[in-house]
Amino acid sequence: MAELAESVAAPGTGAAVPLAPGGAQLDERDAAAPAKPVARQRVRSLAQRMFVVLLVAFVAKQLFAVAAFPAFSGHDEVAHFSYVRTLATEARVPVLPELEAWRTSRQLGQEPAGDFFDTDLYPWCRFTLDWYCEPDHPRWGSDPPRVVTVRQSFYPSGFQYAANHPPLYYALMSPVYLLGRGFSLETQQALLRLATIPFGVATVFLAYRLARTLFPDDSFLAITVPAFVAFQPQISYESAMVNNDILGIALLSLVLYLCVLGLRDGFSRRLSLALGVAVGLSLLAKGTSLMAIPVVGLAVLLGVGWRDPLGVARRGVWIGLPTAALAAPWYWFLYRTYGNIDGFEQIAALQWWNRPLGGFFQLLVDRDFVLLRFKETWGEYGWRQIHLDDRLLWAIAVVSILGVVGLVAYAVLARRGAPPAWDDSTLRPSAWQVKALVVLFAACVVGYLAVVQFGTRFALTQARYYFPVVIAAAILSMLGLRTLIPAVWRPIGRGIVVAALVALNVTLFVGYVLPFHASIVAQMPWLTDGTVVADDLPTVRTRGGQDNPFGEFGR
Amino acid sequence: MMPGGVPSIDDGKSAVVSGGRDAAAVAGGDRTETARVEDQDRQARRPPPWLGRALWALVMVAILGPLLVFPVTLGAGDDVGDAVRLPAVLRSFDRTLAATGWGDAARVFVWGVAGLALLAAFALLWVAFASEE
Repeated sequence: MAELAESVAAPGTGAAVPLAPGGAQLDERDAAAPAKPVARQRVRSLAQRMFVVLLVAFVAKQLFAVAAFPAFSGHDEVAHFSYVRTLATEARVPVLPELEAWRTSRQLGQEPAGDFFDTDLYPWCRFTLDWYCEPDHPRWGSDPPRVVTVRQSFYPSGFQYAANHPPLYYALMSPVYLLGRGFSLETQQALLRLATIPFGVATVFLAYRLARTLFPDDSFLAITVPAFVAFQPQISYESAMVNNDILGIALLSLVLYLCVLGLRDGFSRRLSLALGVAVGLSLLAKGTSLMAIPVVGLAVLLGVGWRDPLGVARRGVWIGLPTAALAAPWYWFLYRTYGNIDGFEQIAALQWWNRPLGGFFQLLVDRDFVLLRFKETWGEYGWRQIHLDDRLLWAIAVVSILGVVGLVAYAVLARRGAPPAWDDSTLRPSAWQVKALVVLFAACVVGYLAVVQFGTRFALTQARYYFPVVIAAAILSMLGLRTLIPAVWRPIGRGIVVAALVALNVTLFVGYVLPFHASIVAQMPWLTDGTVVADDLPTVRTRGGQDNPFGEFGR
Repeated sequence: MMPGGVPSIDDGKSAVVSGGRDAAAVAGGDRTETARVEDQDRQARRPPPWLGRALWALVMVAILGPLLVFPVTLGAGDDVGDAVRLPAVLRSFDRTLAATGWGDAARVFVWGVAGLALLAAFALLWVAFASEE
């Protein structure tokens, strides 16, 4: 695919400048032909060099992150680990208990249906939701509670609440789990964490390809866009955890990249089928990938044109067939098992505390809701365990606001036309580039609205549900910053952007992540035979998911 | 008019190259010359090449210096912890690594990749600050 993009945008081919009606852009292309290949070759060489170094930095950072975050401390890591275990050892997908059926079975003294976490995972119960957690209690430590009472009603405790997630990630991880079976639980989960790094690499690679495809002459974007993705703290975190988010992020990144290719080269049958496969796989990776459907629809509509309904319909079939073929069995399984296609009814009944946050429009303008999403985008880590300092958040906010302001300035300049003296092809996007940017912007909007919509049903809506559009957000925010930097200062500007990202990561690891690790290990002496105690270490106070007052969730 | 002020030979209008140079000869057909002149212009307006390298060195000092000189305040908000020196933070992580029982080889590996990540990040900055474009 990379070769396809590269060959089409290769120096001198001019294919990146599509033929406009009347051939105007073709004329321009011909005139610039001798100058462009040199500049493009230079950008490509610099970008390639940078990308190789970036990958080394990213992989090394991820390897370190696997060890730097305490075992099972990622959001729902225990649940994801348990899912992999069930699939690998029993060759089946776990199932959510149905609350009423579970209560009836319990009353009758029967074994209730539904999957529960294995007892050996109880030492890490503080990182789960819905598992009454007192691992150093003489009784519960050896016989973890499976039932709790809430306002005199019985509820299951320690049930597999990730059972309604689609199976692709867990199927891919099963061989890794089986390979590591002889090792300790910590080592097994570390191996699974290592196996998620390639999905992070794929996301960074797709960010690079997207920038190079969309603006092949632009070294600022070729360097800062993949760097943004590689050093975005929460994307990195997802790529060093046992979770299906990072696979969803990588696959949705592929969907966005293919959409941009389609807008540039046309939605051929081959590309449309590939897009359908990517959408189908992303739906098998994470339910939030449903956001791909309107985005792909918009891309096809813009690419083919609303005046050609037959062409749009044909692409719809080409994309829809593989999507349906891949995803339908999973949704059929959900419907057969739960009577709905997401298992949310069952989750809502089981998680008595996980109630709607408010109405859609109410959340859309709720200041606290927006603020917490921002905090989760850059920090918090897992179930809101590591809070970032306000000054650091303000610094990030200022740069983010600058990115938005710059993007608006870019839109104005691109629409009105930049002054002729400005030697900047990025400021003069051709029609397909404008459409691609519209699609990427729409992806970000859809991603955020999906998080808001989820909040109307569950308090535990989180920023990570919009992480799958990270490469779109990266290109738009870097495009914004780029617009604010004068052309001659851009080499310096891109260095400063990358430096800020590196500095952010160093600060987070030294000031937050490593002390958090020490705190957790000190607070869980049963994992280390008491060799590490809190008094010995510089630590921070920590809060696990279960220590959070539920009233604070989502607000 | 072409992006970048390069005159189009087809538009039939008088063309002006950025920087105010007379473009008549260029519009006559010598596009390679146009590119060369444009390139010279761009080079002349660009910050000196040493500036990127100097900034790179400055950034390294700015990132690592405060960590080496000043104590790090751990945590934030309600969870703010102690202010401690960097070596203490690293030592504590090393001890927790040791306590997790992965053995010395794993510890060396973890510290090795941390060093490699830092080195690669600074190499990345070197490339990012490179003035060529």
